[in-house]
Amino acid sequence: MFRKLLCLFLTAGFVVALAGTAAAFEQGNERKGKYMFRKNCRSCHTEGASAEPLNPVSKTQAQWERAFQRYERFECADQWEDLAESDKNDILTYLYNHAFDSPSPATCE
Amino acid sequence: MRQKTNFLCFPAILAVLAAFTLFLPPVLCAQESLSDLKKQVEALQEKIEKMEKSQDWNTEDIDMLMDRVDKTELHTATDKISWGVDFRTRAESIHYNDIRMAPSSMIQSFFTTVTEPGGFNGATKQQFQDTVAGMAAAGTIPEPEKYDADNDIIYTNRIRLNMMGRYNQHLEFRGRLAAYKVFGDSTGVKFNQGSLGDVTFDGNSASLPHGDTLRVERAYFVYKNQLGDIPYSFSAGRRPSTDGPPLEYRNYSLEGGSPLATIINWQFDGASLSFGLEDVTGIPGASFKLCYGVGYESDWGNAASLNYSQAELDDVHMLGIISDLYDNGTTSFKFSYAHAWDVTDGFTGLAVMPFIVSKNNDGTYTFEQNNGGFISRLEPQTNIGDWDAASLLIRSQIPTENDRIDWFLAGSWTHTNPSRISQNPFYELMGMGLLSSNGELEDRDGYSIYAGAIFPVPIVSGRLGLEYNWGSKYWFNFTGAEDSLIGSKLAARGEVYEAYYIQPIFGNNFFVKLGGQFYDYKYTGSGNPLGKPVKIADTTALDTINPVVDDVWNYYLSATVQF
Repeated sequence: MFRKLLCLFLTAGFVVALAGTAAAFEQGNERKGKYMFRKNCRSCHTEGASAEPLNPVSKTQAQWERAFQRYERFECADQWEDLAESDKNDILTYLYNHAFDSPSPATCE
Repeated sequence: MRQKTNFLCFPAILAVLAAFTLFLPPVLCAQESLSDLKKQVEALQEKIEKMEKSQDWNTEDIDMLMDRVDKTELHTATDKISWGVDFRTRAESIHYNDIRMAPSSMIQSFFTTVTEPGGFNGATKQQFQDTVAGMAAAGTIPEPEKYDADNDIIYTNRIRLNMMGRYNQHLEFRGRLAAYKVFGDSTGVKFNQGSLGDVTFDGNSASLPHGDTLRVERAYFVYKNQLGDIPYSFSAGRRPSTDGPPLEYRNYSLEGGSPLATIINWQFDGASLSFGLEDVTGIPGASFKLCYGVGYESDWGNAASLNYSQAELDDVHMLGIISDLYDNGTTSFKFSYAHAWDVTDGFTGLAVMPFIVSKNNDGTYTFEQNNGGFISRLEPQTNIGDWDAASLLIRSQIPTENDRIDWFLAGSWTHTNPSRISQNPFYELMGMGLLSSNGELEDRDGYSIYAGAIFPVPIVSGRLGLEYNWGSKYWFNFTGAEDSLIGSKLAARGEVYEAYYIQPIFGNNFFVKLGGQFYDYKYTGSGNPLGKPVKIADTTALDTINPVVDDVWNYYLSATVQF
């Protein structure tokens, strides 16, 4: 029995050598990103404000990535320019990790 | 003459030469620029041709994209729900040591008529209890028999289909359909040996192996909005009340549910109202959630018949709070408190009973063996008291050179306040109530500790987990939906040790887990509200009419796919 289990496990271990994962982009600091998003974006991107309401689940992960690649097309491009690259990456990390199609806790929040 | 002629010709020749000299370069230049122009025109023509071709391709691409977008829009408009899958296949090897069971002579006495020596069948409660008291005084209650039991290999498959649909940023639907089965069995009903896990009922229907039927394990809406700086959400339906923190470590997943799994791991229907308090308090991750659930619905329309003549049975309502006291993404403190009113002596469910006990109009009790293996619909008969529980969970990390060690520690408390003895014939005969026997009705406090650490394994990026939990004599939680063939480890009145190794193959989307558990039960009745727990070493035949488990070794190997 143990021998069978061990064989199964070793086989699984061997598969590891053939496997890998690809990160979509260099992950930044999600928590800082959440703070930066609230500080810099939420005042306009909320209901009744000047821009379309946005929160992480408004877009898919791929859509967030594209948005950050083409921000110069947006009306608030000047404000984006004021942000440091690392800040932008942190905000993207927060939005990406909580996007509509992101793996998320199976709770009701 | 010739000389003259020569003299006259010379200027003419000179003039012609001068003219040539003057006019030749521009002509030559014009020819050059013409050819340049020609080349440029040709290049431009080539460019234009390419652009036209490219334009044609772009138009083709746009047409093709439009066709595709139309299809996706159609899907989005009609499908409404996106699906995710979580599939696990597992092999387990289970070994029970020193199971205690009343000797067959004792079991047989329940089916022997009271008119014969040692018989209980047809006895009144008084007769039965007097006989037992006499046997106890004389020291003639037999010792239980001990035996070992092994299941060298048992395989299970569990599939969960996760559903999510979003109407707009305020309204979401989430749900999960699940089927969980043992290889080669889809009956959905087990043989009842006295444990809640043996009964197929609403609280565990999709969380324990019950066959190949897809069940609605979860289905609820979430309405979200903002009150100033306070985001809030209201949710109602079949709750995400299983697999809560800190089980995400051993499940190698994100948090699988809301309530702390130390006190509640149970499929509930109910509602919740939660508030995000981070912005108003300045405390990272602070939140507060009110939860409500119904554990049992009595009365007309469900359990009770319209001519129900027995004592009225109240519904079981549960109310609780779950609060993130602090969560900075690395360290978190989570607190939960729950209260249940009118806990019943069981739940509506299905099981194959080994024997049926019925109470007759003259106050006598009849015992019948279930020789036909018939399935019984079980129903609670009595509200036996109230229950309180609280748990504090700390989760944190210790950074290592290239990774981190995760650790968690939870301390929990439960309190039982019995109100009356069960009217279920078998329990009534034994004088059992909420953690009480022999007619005693006393408040009890139970305590539990659950701790674990998960270490990184370099080179292969594996995770090695070590866990330990302990429950006191009167520890009683509602964790009947905890995924275990043995029984909820977090309900154990005793100690449980667990070690596991997780090997990610594609992160947590595909991983293999190898683990082992050692259950060392100290008291009877783990996870069961009825009867006073008895030290396993001191059990008699009367405590072991249903088998009592002492030690269990469990080894498992599983492969999980989730995305």
